[in-house]
Amino acid sequence: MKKVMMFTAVLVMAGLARAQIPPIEGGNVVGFIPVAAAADVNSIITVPFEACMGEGAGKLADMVSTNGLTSHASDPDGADQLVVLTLDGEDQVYYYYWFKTGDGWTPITTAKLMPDGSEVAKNPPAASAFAVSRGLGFWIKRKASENATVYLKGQVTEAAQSTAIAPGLNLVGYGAVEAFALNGAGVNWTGAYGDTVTGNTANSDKILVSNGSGGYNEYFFFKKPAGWPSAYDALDGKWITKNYAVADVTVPAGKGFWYLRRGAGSFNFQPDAE
Amino acid sequence: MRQKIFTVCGALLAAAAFAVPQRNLTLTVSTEGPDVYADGQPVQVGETYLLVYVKQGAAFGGLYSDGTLVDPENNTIATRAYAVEGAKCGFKAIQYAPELYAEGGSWVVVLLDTRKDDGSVGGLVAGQGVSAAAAVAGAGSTSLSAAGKTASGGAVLAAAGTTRTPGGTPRPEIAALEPGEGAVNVRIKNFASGALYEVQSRTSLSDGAWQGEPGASRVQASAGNVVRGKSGADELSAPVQRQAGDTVRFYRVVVKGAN
Repeated sequence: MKKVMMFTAVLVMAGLARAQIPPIEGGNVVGFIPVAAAADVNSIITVPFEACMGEGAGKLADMVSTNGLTSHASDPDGADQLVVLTLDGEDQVYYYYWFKTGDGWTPITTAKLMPDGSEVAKNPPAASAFAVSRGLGFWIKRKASENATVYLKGQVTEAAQSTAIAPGLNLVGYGAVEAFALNGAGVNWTGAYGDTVTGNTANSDKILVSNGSGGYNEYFFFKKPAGWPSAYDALDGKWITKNYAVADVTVPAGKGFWYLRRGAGSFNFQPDAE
Repeated sequence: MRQKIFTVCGALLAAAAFAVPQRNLTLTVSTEGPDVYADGQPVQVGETYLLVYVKQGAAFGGLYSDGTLVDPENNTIATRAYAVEGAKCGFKAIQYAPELYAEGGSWVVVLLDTRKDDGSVGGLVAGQGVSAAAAVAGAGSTSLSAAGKTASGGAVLAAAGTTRTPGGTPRPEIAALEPGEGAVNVRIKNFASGALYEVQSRTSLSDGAWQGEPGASRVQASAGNVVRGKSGADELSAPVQRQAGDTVRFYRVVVKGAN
């Protein structure tokens, strides 16, 4: 009887010791998010993740899930497409990919029209080799389909986003896994330009957010010029409408937008900066 | 001198600092199909489509049978695309510098009928069909453009329009008639390489009408059918079937297409 009690005590102690051993956590967190991308509409998306598991980590082929999308065996025009604006030397060019049945995202050769009437073939890299940096915006062209959701997937990043915004139009996004308010406290817009001489929105940086039906809602960065009435204090450093009202807009996770840089030179969009 | 060098270097540095990548514009070309020829037949695989830029305020002026533009001042062939299975224009994506095709103009997709008498495509242009115009985007465009939709919003593009005969095409003349077993070889002189010819016949000059000879409605010059005539001039050879029971038949040749 005494032996039984001692054995039981040993088991209890062993159980307690086991309970105190911390689990070994995995080295990464992965996930997916849905993005609304209506059929027959071109939508701008951005990938909030940084990399994904296995072969092709951090590449286009892995980050835009083909689940529920429209494929075709031979006709790119019959399938959903991704269109990426990227740099080719000194040119910004468009790379097209289509969802080929059995093969996934497949590059399409585009023809660059030259001034002398000739054409130069532009061959995008394989989608499994096209690196997608967090903050890159690109198009998804949907065919007619009942499914209006696209899934973006990958590894949750710990690194802060830093996206170069060059003068002119930039196709970008905030790579957040949750929706964000354009004027929310969590988004740092240091470097955005507002015309402090005239206060005219036509001279200030502009953001174009898709309205979901092929058009855009436009917002302008405002910096209050010296001498303007205090009524404009609330607008200072905010994105505003053309009617000088603070933009009350929330951008869904995974949605990209156009950024029209009107300020001099480039800046790095670092939305996560403290 | 030193100051000038500094000034030049400064200017170069400033230029480099503000060098902005030029953003190309993009456009895709395709049709929904099934597209058809004027005779209602579906467009064959490999048939040609043109993407034509039309200047602001102008219209597409059509084509000559040799495939050149009637109004090259206001129309420019930007690129070609080809028919795929399903009798439609295969998807083609292009990109170009914004200054190449001015905003305010329009894009049209033109379906050609290049069928030859043997039924294959790739010959001169006998017919054309034009899509609805799509606006040409400007440098500040924020959308993806597409061309190739029909005016009615429907799916079918029809090559129902005729092409024009190139200027300077001479009046053709039958130089020789060579009856053979089951066939007659009509030899045409004063022909032009960019023009389409049709051999017509009738059995009575006082009764009936000229009828196109089967297999000789799109006669066009090629390496295989141009021969040296007795006069030393080149002649276009157009064999036509000799119909059973024929005792009398008259032939003439006409240039196809409008003038």
